[in-house]
Amino acid sequence: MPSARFSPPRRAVQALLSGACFIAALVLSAGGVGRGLPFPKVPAIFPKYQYFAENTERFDTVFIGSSRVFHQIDPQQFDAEVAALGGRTQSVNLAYDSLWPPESFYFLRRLLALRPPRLRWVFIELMQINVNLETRNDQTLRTAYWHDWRHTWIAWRDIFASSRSPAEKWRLAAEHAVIFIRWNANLGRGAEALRDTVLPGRPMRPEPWLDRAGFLPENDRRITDGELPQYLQTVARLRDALPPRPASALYFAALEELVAEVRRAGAQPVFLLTPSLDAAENFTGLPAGVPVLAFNDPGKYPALYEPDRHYDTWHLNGKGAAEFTGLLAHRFVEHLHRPPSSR
Amino acid sequence: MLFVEFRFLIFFLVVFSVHWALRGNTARKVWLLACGHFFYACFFIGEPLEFWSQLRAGEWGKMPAGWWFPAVLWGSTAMDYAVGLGLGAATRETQRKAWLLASLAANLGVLCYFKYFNFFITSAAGFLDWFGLHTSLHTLRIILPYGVSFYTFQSMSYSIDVYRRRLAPVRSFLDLAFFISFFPQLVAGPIVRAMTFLPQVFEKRVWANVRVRDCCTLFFIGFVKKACVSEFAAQIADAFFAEPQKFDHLSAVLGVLFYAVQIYCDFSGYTDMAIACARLLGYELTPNFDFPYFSRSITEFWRRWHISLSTWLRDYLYIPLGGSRGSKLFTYRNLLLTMLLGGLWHGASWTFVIWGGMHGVALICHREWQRLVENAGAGFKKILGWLAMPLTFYWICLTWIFFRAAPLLDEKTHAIKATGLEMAGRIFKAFTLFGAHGTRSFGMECVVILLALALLHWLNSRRVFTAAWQRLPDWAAAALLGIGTELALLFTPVKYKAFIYFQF
Repeated sequence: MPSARFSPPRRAVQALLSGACFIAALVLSAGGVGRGLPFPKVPAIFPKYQYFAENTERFDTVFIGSSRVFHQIDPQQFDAEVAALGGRTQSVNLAYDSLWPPESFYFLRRLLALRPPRLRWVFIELMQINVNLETRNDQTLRTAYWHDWRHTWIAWRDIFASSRSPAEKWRLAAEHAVIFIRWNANLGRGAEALRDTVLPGRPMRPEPWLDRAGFLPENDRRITDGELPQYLQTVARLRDALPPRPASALYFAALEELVAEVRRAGAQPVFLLTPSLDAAENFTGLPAGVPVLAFNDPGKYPALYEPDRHYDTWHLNGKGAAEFTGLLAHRFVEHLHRPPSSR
Repeated sequence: MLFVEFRFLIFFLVVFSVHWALRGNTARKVWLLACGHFFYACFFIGEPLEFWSQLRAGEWGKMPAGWWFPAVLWGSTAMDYAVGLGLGAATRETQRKAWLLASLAANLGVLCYFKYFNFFITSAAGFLDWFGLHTSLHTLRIILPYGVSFYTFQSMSYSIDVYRRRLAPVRSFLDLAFFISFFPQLVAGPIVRAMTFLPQVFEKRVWANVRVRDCCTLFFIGFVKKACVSEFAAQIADAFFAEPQKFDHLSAVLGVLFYAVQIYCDFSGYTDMAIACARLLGYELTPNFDFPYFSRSITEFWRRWHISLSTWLRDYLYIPLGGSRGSKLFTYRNLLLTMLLGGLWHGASWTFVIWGGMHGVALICHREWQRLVENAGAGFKKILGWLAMPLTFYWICLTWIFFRAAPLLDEKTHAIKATGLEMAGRIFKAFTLFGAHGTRSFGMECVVILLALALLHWLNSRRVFTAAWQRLPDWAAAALLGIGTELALLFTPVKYKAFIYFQF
C-alpha cells in the first residue's frame, strides 16, 4: 500500500545511507575475516609454505622462483658445496612451477611474515611479471590466492603498460578485478574448511621434495632431436650478443619494495638469473646494493647450455641441475668473500 | 545465469534500474519481456558475446546445443495467445472444446516430446523385452529445455481458465508473453496462475509500494539457503548416495536427512529469491513453501510443500477427474492418479513415479486413518499428536530416497552397476535400519550441524527473529545484512550446482 508519508527525496537519502552502511559493513567484515584466515590450501604451494612454517628455526637461506629454481637448485648440494668452500648455509628451495611475479612476490611476503629468526639470505629469481591467466589455472585457488590489493595493483599496472590491444587489456584487467573481489570477499574459504572437517578426503601423498629440502630434479631426459636445431641456434645467437634489458619502472619499484622488506626481516636479498634462452631477462638497472648472480649468458657458462644437461629447451635435467647448483655455490661464496664495501 | 551468481546481480541491477526509470507501463513490460528472454537464453547460449559472433558468422555447427529453445517458449506463448482469442470468439461449446484441446495437445505435446519421449520408448522396449519380444526401438538425442514443465503448466492454466470463463482472453500479446516469460519465475516457478498474475500486468507498478528492505532480506535468506546450506548438505548427500553400501547406519540416516535439507533449501531458497526479485520489480508471486517439514500429516505436507504445483494439480487435474465427488474408491483413484502424474511431472523416470505413488498411498492412508481415529479418546489423540510430525517427516524422507536415487555407475568403466530402483532399495534398507554394512562414517559434526539447522528452522517458523528484525532502523539492518553477506560468501562453495528444480 502506498505510504502516506512517502517522500521520494527522503527515501533516496535513506536508501543511500543504507547502501553505504551495507557496503561498509561488508568490506570491513571481509577484511576482518580475511585477516583471521590461515594461508589457503593452495595445491603444491601450501605444502611448501607449511614445510617452511614448521622449520623456520632451521633454515637461513631461501630460494624463491619458478620451475627453473624448483628443479635446478638442490639445497643439500648447495649447502655442502658452500661448506666445502668455507661458508655455512642451511638452505631450502621454496620455488615451484610457474611461480612468477607477482605471485612469487606475494609468496615471499607471506614467508617473511612468518618471521623466520635465522633467515640470512633470500635468493629471488628475476623473471618478467606474468599476469596471463592461463586456461589451466582459470578459477583455481592457485590463480586467486595472491590477489591482495598490492599484487593485484602490480598486475593491473603491468597489463596497462603492456603492448596488448586495448580490448585485451580491459578484458584481462576485468578478470583480475573479479578474482580480486571474489578472493577478498573470502568466497568459499569457510565452506572449504567445513568440508574438510566433515568430509575428510584421502590423505595427501607426501610431497616428493620433502627429503630434499624442497628440490625436485627433472629426470635425465634430453632435448629431443626435433628441438635440438632450434635450441642450438638460439644458444649461438645469445652467445654472440646478449643486449642488456633495463628493468621497467614498475618492475624496479616492485623489486625495491620487496628488497626493503627482506632487509627489514633481517636478511640479505640476492637476485638470481637462471640459465635462460630469453634475452629479455637480461635485466639491468635493478635496485642498488643487491648482488646479481647471473647465469643467463651461454658465453660465460657454456656447460649449462650443453644439450645433454637439458631436460627441455628451458629446463636443466638432473645432471644440469647438479652443475648449476655447484656453480651457484661457488659464485655465492665468491660474493661472501668479497669485502662488504665491494659486494 | 543462476540467482546466486555475481553476473545475475549485475543483470538484475540493470533490469531494476531501467524498469523503474521507464515511465509507461507498456515500456516497462517490453523491457522486462526482453530481459526475461535474455535471461532464459543465457541458460542455453553460453557466453552471449561469443554466441552473437557465432550467429553473425553463421557458424551453425558451433552453436551450443539447445540455442533455439527460446523459440519453443515463443511458440508456446503464441499458441496460447491464439487459443485465448479463439476461445473468446467461439460461440459454440464444441468450438470452445476444440480450442482447449488444441492448447492441451500442443502444451502437453511439447512436454511429452522433450521430457518423456525417450522415457516412453525405453519403458516400452523394456516392457516388451520382459515378454520376450525383443525390439530395436531407438531413442532420440533430446535435451530438456530448462523450465519447460513450469511454463507449459502456466500456459495451460491460462487456456483452461479462459475456457472455464474465469478469465477474459488477453487481447495484448505483450501481456500474455510477459506473464509467461516473467524471468524471476520462468525456469523453476513458482507456477503462477494467469488469474492471479495477469491483473498485476494490466496495472502500472508503483515504486512507493516496494518494500526494498524486506525484499533484500528475503533475497539474502534465499541466498543463504541455496548457496550455503543446500550446497553444504549436497556434499554430504552426494557422498552418501554415490556409495551408500560403504556407510554405516547413522551415516545412512544422515545422508538421507541431508538430502531432505538439500532439496528443501535448494528449492525454497530459489523461490525466496524469485519472490524477492519479483517484488523489487513491483510484482507479487505465489508463495511456494510454508515450513513443510513441520507438517503433522502428509495431507498437510502437500498444503505446505511446492504449494503452487499442488494447488495446480488439485485445480486442473484432481478436481476435473472428479475429485472427492464420488465413492471412496473413486476418490482414492483420483488421488493416486494425481500423485502419480505429479511424480512423473518431476522427471522421466520410474523412481519419480514411485515417489508420487508413495505420496498418493500415504494420502489415502491418512484419510483412512483420520476416519479410524475420529472417535478415539483424548489421550490417544494427544499421543498421536506428538508422533504425527516425526512420523510424517520420516515418511517424507523415505520418499526422498526414490526421488534422489540415480543409477550407480562403475567408477572406471561407467557401466551401470545398479539401476536407480536397486539403489533406492539399498538406501531404503539402510535408512530404515534393516541393513547397512559399511564402515564409512560422517562423524558427529554432521549431527551437530543438522541439529543446529533444525533449531534455526524451528525458531524461524515461530517468527522469533522477525519482530526483532523489524524493530531495527534501516541503517542497522543494512549493516547487519552486509556482515551477513560476508559470512554467507565465506560459506558459499566456489562452484555451485544448478538448482535441482531446473531439471524439471
